[in-house]
Amino acid sequence: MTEYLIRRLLQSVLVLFLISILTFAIIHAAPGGPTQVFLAPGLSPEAAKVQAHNLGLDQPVPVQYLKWIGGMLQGDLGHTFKNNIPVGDILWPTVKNTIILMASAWILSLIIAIPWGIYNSTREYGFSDHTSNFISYLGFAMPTFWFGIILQQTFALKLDLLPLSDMYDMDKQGDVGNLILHLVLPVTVLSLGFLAGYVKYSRSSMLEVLNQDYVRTARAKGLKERKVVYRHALRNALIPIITILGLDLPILVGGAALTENVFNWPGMGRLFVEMAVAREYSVLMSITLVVSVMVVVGNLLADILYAVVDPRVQYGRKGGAAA
Amino acid sequence: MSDIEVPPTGKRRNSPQGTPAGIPVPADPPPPGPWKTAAKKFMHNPFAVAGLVIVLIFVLIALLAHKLAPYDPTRIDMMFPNLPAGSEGHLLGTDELGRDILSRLIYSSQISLKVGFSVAIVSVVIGAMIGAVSGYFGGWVDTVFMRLVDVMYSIPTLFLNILILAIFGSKSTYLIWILALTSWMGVARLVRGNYLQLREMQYVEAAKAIGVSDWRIIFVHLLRNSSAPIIVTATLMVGNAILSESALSYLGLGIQTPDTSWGLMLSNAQEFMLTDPLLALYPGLCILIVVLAVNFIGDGIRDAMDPRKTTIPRRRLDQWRTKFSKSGT
Amino acid sequence: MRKKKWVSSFTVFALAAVLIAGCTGNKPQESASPSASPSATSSESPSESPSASPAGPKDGGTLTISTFSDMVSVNPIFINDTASGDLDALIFAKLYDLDRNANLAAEPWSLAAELPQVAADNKTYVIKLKPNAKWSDGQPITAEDVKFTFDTIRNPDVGSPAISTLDKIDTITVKDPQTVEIKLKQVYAPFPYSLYISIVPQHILKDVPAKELKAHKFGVDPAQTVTSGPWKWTEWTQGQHFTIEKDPNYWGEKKPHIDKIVYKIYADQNTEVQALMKGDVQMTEAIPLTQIEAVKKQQNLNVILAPGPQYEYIQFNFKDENFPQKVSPFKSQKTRQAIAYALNRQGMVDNVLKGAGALMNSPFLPKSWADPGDKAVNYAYDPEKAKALLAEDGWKPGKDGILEKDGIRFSFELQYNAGNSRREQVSAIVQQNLKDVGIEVIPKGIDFATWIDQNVTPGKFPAILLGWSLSNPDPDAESIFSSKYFPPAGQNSGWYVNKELDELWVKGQQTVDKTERAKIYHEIGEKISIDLPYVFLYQYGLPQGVDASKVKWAEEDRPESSLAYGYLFHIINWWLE
Repeated sequence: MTEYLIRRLLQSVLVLFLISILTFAIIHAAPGGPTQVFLAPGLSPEAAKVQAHNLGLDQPVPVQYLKWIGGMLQGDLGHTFKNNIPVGDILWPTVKNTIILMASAWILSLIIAIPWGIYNSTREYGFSDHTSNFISYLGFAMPTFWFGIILQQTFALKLDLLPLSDMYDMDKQGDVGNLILHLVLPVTVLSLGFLAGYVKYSRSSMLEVLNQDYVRTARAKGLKERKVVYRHALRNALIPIITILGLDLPILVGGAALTENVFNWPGMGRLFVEMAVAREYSVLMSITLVVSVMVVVGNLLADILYAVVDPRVQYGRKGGAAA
Repeated sequence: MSDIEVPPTGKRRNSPQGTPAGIPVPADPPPPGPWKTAAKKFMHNPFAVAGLVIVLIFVLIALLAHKLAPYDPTRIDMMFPNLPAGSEGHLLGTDELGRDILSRLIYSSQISLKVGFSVAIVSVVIGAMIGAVSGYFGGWVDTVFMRLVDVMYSIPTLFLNILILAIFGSKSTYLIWILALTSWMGVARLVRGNYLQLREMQYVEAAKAIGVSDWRIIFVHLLRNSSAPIIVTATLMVGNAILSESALSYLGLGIQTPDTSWGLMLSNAQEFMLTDPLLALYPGLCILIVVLAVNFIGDGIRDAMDPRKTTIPRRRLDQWRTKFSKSGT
Repeated sequence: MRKKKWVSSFTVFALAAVLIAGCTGNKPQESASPSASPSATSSESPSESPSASPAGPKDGGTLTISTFSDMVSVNPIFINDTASGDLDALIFAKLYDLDRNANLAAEPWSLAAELPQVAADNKTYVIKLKPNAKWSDGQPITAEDVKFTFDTIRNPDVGSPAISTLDKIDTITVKDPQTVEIKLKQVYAPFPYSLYISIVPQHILKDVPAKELKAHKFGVDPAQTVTSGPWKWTEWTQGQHFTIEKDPNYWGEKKPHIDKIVYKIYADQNTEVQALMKGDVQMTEAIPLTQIEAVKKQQNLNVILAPGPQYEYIQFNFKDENFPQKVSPFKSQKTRQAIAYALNRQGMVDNVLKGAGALMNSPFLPKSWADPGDKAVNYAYDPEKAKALLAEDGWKPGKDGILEKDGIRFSFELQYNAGNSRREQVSAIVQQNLKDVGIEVIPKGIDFATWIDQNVTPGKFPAILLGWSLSNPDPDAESIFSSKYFPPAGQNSGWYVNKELDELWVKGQQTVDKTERAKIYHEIGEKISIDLPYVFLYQYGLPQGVDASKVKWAEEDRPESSLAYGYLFHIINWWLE
């Protein structure tokens, strides 16, 4: 176990290292090179030269990389070139806001999806099963922002039932009740996504367990179906479900750029789009890297969680196709 | 490389086919029979057939756009802007510049489908090549490629797309390449998984012994054993790519005028949500219908090829994950 | 989403560009000239505008204004975008302000006590400050602050975008704590508008090295930004909102009525408009033209729409190397005139601008004192005449119907910034109009900042569709049209040469008498409309939306569309119901 953990950890570090190189390479492959990317547009050639020197852009590329990554390691995400604000000051609050949004959607869809999926597993191809199937297809094929806009038009503008956008009303900053009102529409949009997947997933893992021998044995013993389902099968079916949830953790930080844009939610995705518009490429680089770190760490945690939850997992290198 | 050996019921996210070790792709080269059976099965699935018909219709529309569209989609007619649907000569009305909406929808199908299919094809080719080489040769080749897969999986794709498009500028060819270069990993893992099994098989040893080249083995095997799951993945990727294109166009980073796509039309229509919400309805519906149809086909093929129904949701979930990380949400 | 924002970045550029262009103007003493009255073009529907309520002004309340771009820095030395400019207008007192007719004025809230005294040589300006003006930290605002501000902007190490507006200054001398004397190197008629400027606190910034000023927290951190205006800056949550509150210690005799103003940042203009309709905000500075009808339908909302200080144009490139066939097809005057005739400019105003624009025939805003009026040639839409002119000039239809001359096909790329829906529409119309006379146009949308960097500034393009925003009311535009100002340093990005005009521009700068000056600009207008380095399209406005049931003002304090930042005109006198 320890050996596995160490190896998994080293792997994550390697992946992060490669990601940082990739991100850095993209900037250096930009037309006009990093000078174009890091400097304010419209500078005179002389001024650009001075600034490039001040920013160390005239140094060899590996040196620049080491400086950049060194800063990142010390938590220095750099500064915006327009007004010299530390990127961290802008980024961290939006991370929190994104997590509030995503976690709400996630938890809500779990609360609905798991019982629903289990119910469906006991009544395969019933009405409820078909409904969830339908939602699943719809949720997948519908452009998210389109759904969001339609909800906004209907519930915020036409019916005037819910807030249109933002996280709080201007005069109710920090008010939880107000936050919940503002969460309703974006969470609906996002939940449709999560929900569809999770219902099907919990249904199938339940089905898989129900078809196992020991469940059949239990049935053969004459146990009531309810008991079979809830006592024997459920517990085992939950293991893969929990695992999958762990694996989805990174999605929470990966964010919901489109939903955030539609609903003016002050999260990371919106920030990223905004910074892309402002051509703050160094900020974009930092954000990409920070989010990647979260994803990698999330994956690592999920793997560990998986290993802990499922005793059948063996640690070793033989033959596994999964990476 | 994997460090965990997963028993049959274990779920591993990193296997788009949901078959790390547990649910095997047919171990022996299938006789021609299964294809026929599968085709028969597919044709008996009403959803799959409907999906196929719809996609074919859209492909035909795209190919015959110049014949079908009543007007040039870029033709401006300042005399008749903002005509409502059902106006004489303009079935779905005109937009703010008097351009015929029906014609624009028809021409949009060209770009949307072009992006969808190109991305699917390019990423399948890349993914299959990397996966095959990786799985067949193993060793450091495998390690390198699989780390690359890890890297690509860990970078938030939507962010990466935005970053690249913002730096390099938006062009439809860039868009296709960028989307393809960020979606080949699923296929690569799938194909690699297959080859890991292949390496152990006797007929490969036999083939090698009689001097068949590695590349030939790789290629033939690829066609034989992996084509079904690859087709399924590719089909679903078409839908994903169309959604991603619309998302990026919506953010202003995708297709640019004078070209037109459904995503771009949606983005433009947003300005008119208050006055003419129908403008947003048409392109949205087109996207919805095509992506639905493509998914029906994908699921239809899979059901036809794979008797084990229980693997459905895992793919669906992977698809979800792709949607979340790729087209964003 | 993003697309709407490029509009904002456009404004950003235009402001900077015009600052560099150094348009400045008429002498204050002559400001009474009635011909200068842009108010004739102002509020479309003043009767609808919220006029004095029976109760009269009352104090208190929070005004929420929407914006679709966040502020960058409110340090007046570095302001380069409209969101920061808005905040600047509210929290800093300017040396002088502008009245409704765009004349320099010493208002009760201006730092100067009276209009500047100009010596007989027209090169020396003496400015007297109000003795009671003070910073929000209690320090007095003195002549030293004024000198410091000017000197800092003039220092190349600082990197202020406003540097070129002050490059004609020779010396600045502090005569006494309330008096500054500015000497110019030469007579420069546009100079007085350079005095329409916010002053920074010397006591805070004097010890900061010039090169580090940009990184200083003044202008970025509310706690470290000492202000001088009626409101003080209290909060900035990046990407979400920034807030100002009434300064209880404000020095001016006229106090503001509104307690608190919040700028809410929206991801795009559509959301912004919806927020206005929903009542989340009470004012929106620029409603997309396409949404005006929807907004007007709502009873309490008032749309103020009139042409403002910005115009759009098509610029030709005269440099051969910018064309694939290495010959600029625009070199002949007749060809340029034919293009002007071929374009349906009135159609653009009617359909794209929804009537909220005015045709332009010269670089001077219609109805301003420099406007040559009928002296400038008006190219009315006439495709037949265009065809005739092109034929006269030797263009003959080729196989595909596109004109050809000397083996060169008349086909060119028209660049504009992608995502600006107005320009997208106009470029499509241009393409159509020119196709009708046998010219092929390939419209190409490019990301704004990249475009400015790589095409516009270095002068590398066949033809562009762009606009100028005239933040300064002076008509001088030498740096845009004179051959002294070729790229990359200058802004004559089409490499246009006209020696006669070059001289006239200089003459315009050196003539102080306004009547004489007007004559020069009328002449320029006439000549430029014949020679056409640009096809001037139209002046356009930014529709301002206001919740009239909440936001109130007296008639004389209504917003003034013809001024840059005119949507905040006299906001100190507004109140909330």
